[in-house]
Amino acid sequence: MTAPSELRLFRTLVAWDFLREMRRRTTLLSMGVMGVITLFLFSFAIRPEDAVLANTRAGILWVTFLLAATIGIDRAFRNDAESGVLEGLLLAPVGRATLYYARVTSTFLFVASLQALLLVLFLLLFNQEIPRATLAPMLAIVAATSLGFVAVGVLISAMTWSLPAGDVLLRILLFPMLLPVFNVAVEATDKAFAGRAPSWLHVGMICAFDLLFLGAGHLLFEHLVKDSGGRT
Amino acid sequence: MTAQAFQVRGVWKRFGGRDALSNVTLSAPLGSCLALLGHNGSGKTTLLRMLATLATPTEGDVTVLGMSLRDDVRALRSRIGVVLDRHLLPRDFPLGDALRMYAGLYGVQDAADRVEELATRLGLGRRLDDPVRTFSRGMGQRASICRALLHDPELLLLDEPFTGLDARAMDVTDEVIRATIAAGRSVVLVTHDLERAARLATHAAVLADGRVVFQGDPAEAAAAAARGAA
Repeated sequence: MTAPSELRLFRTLVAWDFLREMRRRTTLLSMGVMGVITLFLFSFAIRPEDAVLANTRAGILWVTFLLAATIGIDRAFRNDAESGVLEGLLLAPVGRATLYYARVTSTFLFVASLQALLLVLFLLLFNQEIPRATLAPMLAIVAATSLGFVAVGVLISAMTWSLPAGDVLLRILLFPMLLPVFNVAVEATDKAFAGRAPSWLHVGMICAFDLLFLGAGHLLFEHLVKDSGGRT
Repeated sequence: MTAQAFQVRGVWKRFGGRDALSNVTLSAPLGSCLALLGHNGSGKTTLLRMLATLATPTEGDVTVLGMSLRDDVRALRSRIGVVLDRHLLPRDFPLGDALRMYAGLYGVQDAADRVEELATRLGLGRRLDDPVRTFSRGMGQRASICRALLHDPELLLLDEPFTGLDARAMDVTDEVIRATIAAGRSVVLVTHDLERAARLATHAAVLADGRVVFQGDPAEAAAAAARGAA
């Protein structure tokens, strides 16, 4: 028996998350339903021809992204914890940081693929378009911000999954923590819609947020899953 | 001095304001089968979870296979196999895929052969392609034993492994425990089946309210547990 490298364990865990999601599709479906319903509700409240849309479109898009992503984040540990698989993973000789990064990666990929679909639906429903020149910077902003969402969300999910009303607590803790990066992302996206590239300040703040919480996850995750589900 | 499978010294475990374990001191030599007996809530599972690295002591020292739980326990995890009250396998996966995935995490060579060998031994050879969710309680329990044995652990920790098993499956589990001890491996067995504990174990301890109230011969421990010492 040879101890596998952390990179190999990371790949195995991400691949496993994907295979399981392909079989169940519960996370993607739940996130998709939430995102589509949110967009449709906004489309009933604000018509594509309304002047107010120009000032609110970035906010509408990010509220939709946030609500959909929160469902995926909430399920990052809940499904595994409820089925007992999380304990199986905690028993295996896998570094806790590897477990955290694998879960962040798979959740991020689920969230990002769904966001691509929601963005297309948003453009169609609200009759909007993104100027070609700012499309790539805007997608980069969406990806970097979502990585931050997921990094902090998975951390809080690990803290709350075993608590009573943990799903509510997740949202209560998550939303205030996301507020700074959410504001920056809305501002940068608004600029992109208007044909102006996001500033370096925007990019720097989002990257700093990502690094801060990926680092926090690296250091704290082990302590959050310690004594998980302890019973007599 | 005899090498120990585990040593627990002055261990306390508190959940909120309640002591699940109170000043527990206990050990078992390598190659032994220690039966942990006692009523529900006596602290048996807490102690087993501690040995499995799933829980940490509030106070005291725990050493498993010569490694302290206060050190990096990753290497230790590759040397122990654990059966808990749930099978810990993904319900939507075929048994074979689920076991091969776990084998990958433990770095098991020839994982496919190992999975087939264990599944056949535990009477699940024909169910490798079936999703785990279709399994009965007893089949799930046997699948869990397969998972715990994948990496040929030096210490096998079993929490109520006989629950839900029919007579034949119990015999197979007995055989697995005996073979593990015969191979020089160690076993910790948490069970309410006193008769089986007396038959399989080489050492025994009875816990009550988080304390060790009896330690010694398995038959005497089973009798003590039956009398209500636990």
